[in-house]
Amino acid sequence: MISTLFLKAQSRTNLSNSVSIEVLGLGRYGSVGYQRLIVGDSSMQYYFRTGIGVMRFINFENKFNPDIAIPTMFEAVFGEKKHHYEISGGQVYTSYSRCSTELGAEKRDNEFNLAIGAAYRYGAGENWVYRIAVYDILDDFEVLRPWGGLSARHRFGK
Amino acid sequence: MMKGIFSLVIVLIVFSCSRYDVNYDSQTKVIRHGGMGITHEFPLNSFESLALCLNKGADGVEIDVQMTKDSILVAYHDEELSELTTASGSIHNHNWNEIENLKYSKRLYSEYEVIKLNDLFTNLPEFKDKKYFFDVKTFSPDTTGAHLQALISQLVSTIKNFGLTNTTVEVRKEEIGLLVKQLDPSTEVFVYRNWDKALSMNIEYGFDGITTDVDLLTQDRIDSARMVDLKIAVVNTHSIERNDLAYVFGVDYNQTDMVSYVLRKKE
Repeated sequence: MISTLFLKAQSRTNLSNSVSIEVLGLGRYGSVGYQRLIVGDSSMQYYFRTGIGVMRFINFENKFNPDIAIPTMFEAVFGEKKHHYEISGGQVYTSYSRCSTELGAEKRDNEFNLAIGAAYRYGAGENWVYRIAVYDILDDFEVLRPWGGLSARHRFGK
Repeated sequence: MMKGIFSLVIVLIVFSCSRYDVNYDSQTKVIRHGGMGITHEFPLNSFESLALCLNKGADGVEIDVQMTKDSILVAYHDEELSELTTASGSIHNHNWNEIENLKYSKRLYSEYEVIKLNDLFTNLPEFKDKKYFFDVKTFSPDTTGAHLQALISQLVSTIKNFGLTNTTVEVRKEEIGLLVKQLDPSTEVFVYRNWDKALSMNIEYGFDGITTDVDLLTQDRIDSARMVDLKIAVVNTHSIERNDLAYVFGVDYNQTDMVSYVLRKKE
């Protein structure tokens, strides 16, 4: 059934792939991303999204050593014409440099952070979608943080 | 003729809009509040913030100092732990093992720890000759003076143990300054109060300087401090104009919130 839906989606639209740039959002200050339509019909579409954001380029030793965030999200999108709504869920992998006073040296910490989101999407023309989103991010599975983001997506390919 | 007048007007406008003619090559030392300051991504007083500031080439840092119930010195600014971390209560109500590994929690995806002074200086041996300002936080309700005495004693021991050669303790109460001088005469004591009170405390107790808001400086005040050989440190230099002012007045220490900008200007 899923493959039938997938084929249906593929045949009816060229919105399968898009790239995006997000201000704030899951990359903290910003990120670039890629979205792919997994399956969908005229009333509901499901997307997979990933990307990368750089939180810092320079570490405490004043050396180039970027801290990065890689969000991986699944999105469900519904709505009509230009106006769509989205709910999403997934996780953000973060890797950052800090000092370990026990080791007496720089240490890289890797974490997973649960994220859920809701967004409004406005389709402008054939290829552009603008999006405003709010997120709840369970930072390191410890602290729940509300967050938000603005993004522009450009569709490409078939 | 008209062209000449026009040029003159332009020159006058340009000169009237220019800032002070500031020489950033002066002897004013660049110190940073709590490391990289309150707006930086690294939390105030975290190891990362203090280390980055020193690695960037600042002359020194200002560190807020508090003491735990079991006499461990901790670099932390606020009275309440809940202001900046996930814990609650005050530093002086906890033993170190209760707050060890405690993380600053204000920023997304950041996991930087509250540190004790011993760990800071153990890991920064190459910076022992930098300038350190210690802002002693006296949040403990203890009225016997025992907490304060233990704090200063621990602080002076830390200064000596790590061979810190250029230290200043900022105080608001004379008894703290006197205690510092009694335990280590080579450590400077700066008074951080309103100008007149700070000046009179310095004269009365033989302290070394005044920490003041840069906005409160006047040439008369500078002159009055210089007449009695007092040094001057300024705080709240968080704009270009305020940093310019610090260098125009030629203060001894600029505890700037724009360390990268000032270091660029000095270069």
